[in-house]
Amino acid sequence: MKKIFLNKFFLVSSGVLLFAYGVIYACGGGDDWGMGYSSNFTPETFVEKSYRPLFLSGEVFYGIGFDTEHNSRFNDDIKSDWNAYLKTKVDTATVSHFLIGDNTSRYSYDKDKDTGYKKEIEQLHVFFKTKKQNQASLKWGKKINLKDDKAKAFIEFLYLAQKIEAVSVGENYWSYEPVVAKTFDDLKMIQSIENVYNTISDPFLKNRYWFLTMKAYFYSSNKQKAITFFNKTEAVVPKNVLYYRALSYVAGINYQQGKYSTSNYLYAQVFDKCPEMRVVTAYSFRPENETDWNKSLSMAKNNREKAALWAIHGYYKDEMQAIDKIYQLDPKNEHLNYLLTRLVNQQEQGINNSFELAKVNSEGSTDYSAPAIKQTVAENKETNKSKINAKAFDLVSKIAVTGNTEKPYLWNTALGYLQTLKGEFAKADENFAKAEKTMPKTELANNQLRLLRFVNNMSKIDKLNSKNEKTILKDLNWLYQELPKQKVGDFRYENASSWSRMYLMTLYKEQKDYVMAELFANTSAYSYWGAGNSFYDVEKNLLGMKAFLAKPNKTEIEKIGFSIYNLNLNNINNFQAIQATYQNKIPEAIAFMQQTDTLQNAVFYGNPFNGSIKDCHDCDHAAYQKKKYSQIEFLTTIKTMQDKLAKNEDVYTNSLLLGNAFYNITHFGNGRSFYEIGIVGYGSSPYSFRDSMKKMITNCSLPKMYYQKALEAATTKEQKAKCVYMLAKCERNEYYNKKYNSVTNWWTADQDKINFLAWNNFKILKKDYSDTKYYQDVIAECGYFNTYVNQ
Amino acid sequence: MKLRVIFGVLFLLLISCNKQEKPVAAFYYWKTIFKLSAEEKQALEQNNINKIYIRYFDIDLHPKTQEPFPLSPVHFENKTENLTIVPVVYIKNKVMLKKGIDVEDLAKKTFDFIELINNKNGISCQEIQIDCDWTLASKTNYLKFIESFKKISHKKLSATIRLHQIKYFEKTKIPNVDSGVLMYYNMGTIAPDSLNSIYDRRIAQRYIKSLKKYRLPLDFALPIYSWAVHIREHKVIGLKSKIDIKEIQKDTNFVQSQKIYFTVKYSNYKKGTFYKQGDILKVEAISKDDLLEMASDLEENTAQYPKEIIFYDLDEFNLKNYEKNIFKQVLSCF
Repeated sequence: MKKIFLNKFFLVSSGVLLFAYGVIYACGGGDDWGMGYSSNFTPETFVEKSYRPLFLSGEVFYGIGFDTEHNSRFNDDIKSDWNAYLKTKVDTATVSHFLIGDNTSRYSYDKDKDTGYKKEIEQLHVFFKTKKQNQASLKWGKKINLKDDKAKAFIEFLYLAQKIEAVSVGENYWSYEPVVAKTFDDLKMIQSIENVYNTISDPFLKNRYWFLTMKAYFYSSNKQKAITFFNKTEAVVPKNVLYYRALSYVAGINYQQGKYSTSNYLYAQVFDKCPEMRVVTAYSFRPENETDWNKSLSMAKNNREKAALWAIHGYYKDEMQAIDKIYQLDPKNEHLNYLLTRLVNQQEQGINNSFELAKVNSEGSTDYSAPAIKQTVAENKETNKSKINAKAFDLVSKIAVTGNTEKPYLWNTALGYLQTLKGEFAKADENFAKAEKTMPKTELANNQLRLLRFVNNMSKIDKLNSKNEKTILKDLNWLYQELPKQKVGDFRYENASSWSRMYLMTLYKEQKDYVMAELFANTSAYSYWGAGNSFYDVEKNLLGMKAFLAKPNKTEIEKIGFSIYNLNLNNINNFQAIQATYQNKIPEAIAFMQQTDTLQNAVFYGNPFNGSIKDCHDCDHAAYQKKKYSQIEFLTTIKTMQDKLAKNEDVYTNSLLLGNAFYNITHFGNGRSFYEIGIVGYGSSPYSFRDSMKKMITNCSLPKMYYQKALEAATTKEQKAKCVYMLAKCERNEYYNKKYNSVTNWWTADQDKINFLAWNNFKILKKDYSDTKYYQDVIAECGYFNTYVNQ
Repeated sequence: MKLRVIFGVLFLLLISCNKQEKPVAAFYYWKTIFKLSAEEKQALEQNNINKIYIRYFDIDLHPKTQEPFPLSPVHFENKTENLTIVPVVYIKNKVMLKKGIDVEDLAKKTFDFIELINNKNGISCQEIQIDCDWTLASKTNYLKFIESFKKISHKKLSATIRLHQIKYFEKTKIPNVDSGVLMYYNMGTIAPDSLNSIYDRRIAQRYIKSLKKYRLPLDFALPIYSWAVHIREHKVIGLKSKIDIKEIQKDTNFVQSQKIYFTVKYSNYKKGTFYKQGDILKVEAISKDDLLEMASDLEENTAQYPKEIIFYDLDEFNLKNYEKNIFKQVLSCF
């Protein structure tokens, strides 16, 4: 009883669909998460919820992917029907227990628990028959009056229902039956069920035995009998959900017999009349060819039935044609609503919200490696205008104007939005006003209308001025600040939020106001991870932004830009400190670093003044450190050493430590965290960084200069050996920089198979310092050097 | 020009054939009901093929519970006497990507399920094949699964191997199986462009040189299937397998634009699919010359000679696109 019908038809056809689905999915078709990010038109606003899975989607069904309720769709219906029937006789929990068992997982291996209630039903049946008490009757006798007619009827019905369920529902996903579909061939049992139907007088039970008989025939080897039984009895059966479920059985049998036109005709009628089954019927509806389809159409007895066929046909087929046909047949038909949302959502798919175009090469294919071509606002609007299908637009206009549909405001809203996209802003305003007058004022409807009006108002702007700015300020705040904090349900506003930023960014760029453009572009927040922010590579930009951020009296739109920007003065000062450090302007770097609030206190993971034989970050980070250096301490320590060096104090040690310090803040050293900030970028490979930053963090000339100084000041052979080795590391890094880091991608690097080179300083180390202890240390730790020595 | 290509191929065949022990041919059977048509039986008999790799079931994550479960297990309507059956289980990569998946439990369930299908259908098998397009992220789980499965099953175990897994074997690792089957198809992406996603020699060339370094005995699987890519507004919206080109050529709702493209002139239903005006069908198929080219390229680059060439897949629809002796011709290249 708990689960339903058509399993095998579903399974057979789902194999086909799954395959296609896998392909579509693999090909990067959008998922529904993405719908909200490319759409301004929320289909839920005015369309009844049974249509929801049929909304435009990158998946088979919108929001659910697949039909997820195939075995449980009617559980609630069934429970409430029986509860109403049994009212005071049996309590709700007990009804639920006998109908669907305890709600344990289908994967539970505790089979007894899963099937326990079924055994109890059997035992109770035996008790009714023999009047001999058993375990179940003793247990349930305390809770229910087993002598009550209705309670008894309930249990006896379930007893029979269960017999058929054994073939209709697979219990366990890891079970296997050697036949494609099980059939229920106990014809005597079916006859006895039909007999109960024929004789019983209680209308509730009669209806249910009628359905049970249908189900039994459907799962029997003689399916034709289901159709015969249906035709014989149909006239006297109430047209409720059970009736339409039975009608679906008839449709399924016709499908199996290859009578596609009848099957599709029947599915369309179920789709029309039984909202609970819209998903199933849309799935099962499947004309084989044009002849089938035309035959189905000719079977329709009236306009309503014909419209139903077009309505189901419109699902992932041709919405436009379906709308046209249905409107001609029945303008008030409610199926038009969902089809219209599909039409609008479909039009949106072609809209360019990025304000850039991918480059197309001479062969006509897209060149994704080339930078995209930026569009102006006017160009963007022009391309989008051309994307709107003229026929679709005319159709919606024609219908909206007549106003004789079930929900004229839905048509006005849709038309207004399409007009916005076509650049007919004044007409759009008119349509939104018309919609507002008649639409139900739900929160979602109000939000939807406000959003579309905003998109219209924004689209009117070709150049920002203080007057037209005012038309969007409130809505920008609403989009950026208020909505993200609210629970908005299905409301699709993310697209308008990101589109408006791109729109403003493009406008400001056109007006050469690069600071404002950057605020809305928010490059570091929205670019791919770790790319940094090249806006700050231009000094004028950097200073402009600092001035803007510090400015006290910001205009309204400036405040909005400010509020959504993810960088502040501290971040920019930090960036300036980093730049000054690499330029060896330490007092300047310290001054900037001091203006970074708490950022200056971030500590290095390893000791940045250590120079190891191996460039092993993890080892350096894990090593015991008496002192942990913060960024500011790092800089002030450098300053102290440089001051001492200026006075020729302890030249060797100070130079070596300075060499180590500048080495460690390159890509090769143990202190990458020094430069890994939003503006510079992040990444374990130099390729993650933009060219200007890649150059900055891989350049070893500063440490080299200090190591050279140390070498000149060194007094012992041990000291000299160390300096020579450190210089060799710098040499190696330079080689890598030239060979790999200067090309765009590592795989384009020259494959010369060189995996070992004897650096000049290796040679010196071998020639002049082989008698030092440090030399032995290098041999022990550095495989390359060892290879060189032994070759 | 074309003649020259054919002579080129012939020449290659001449120099590359006639070596070693010849491999034998086998088929993959990938339908959910095992039932051989007269043409299929004939193909087996005429080519003395008696080994079939049958897809038993897929393992997928249930959309609702996200637990692994066997999807569409095979049913047998024909007896399999006189045939050597190798059950193949296709495991979706997302199963192996699932965090916290109990691979030992899955291996046990998978093996039990194969045995269940075997028992119910009176089949016994000596070998089992696992098919999974595992990636770096799923490597650990997959390799563990294979280890567990081997321990549990005590049978010869083979696994499918993709081209990228050959080239990057140091990273993707080699599963601990007795032998592998290199799937020499599905090379490109299914896309609206003009390339063939089933086989593209230029793509194959990027990988094939690595075959010599691969340390697992390999058999080769070659494609004999074709399909049509259903394209709407430059997006792939579906894949139509077993499509009859001659029938589309006859259908006035379709116009053949180039050799492999058909444009939908009028919206229509065909074989249960709705084709909208302006849609495009791109036909991807494998010719006899393609097959011979694949065979000679593989022969040239393989380290060990394959014991079997498995054709994907046994279906009368595929068979009718080739001459009857195509399988022998391909085998003779090794």
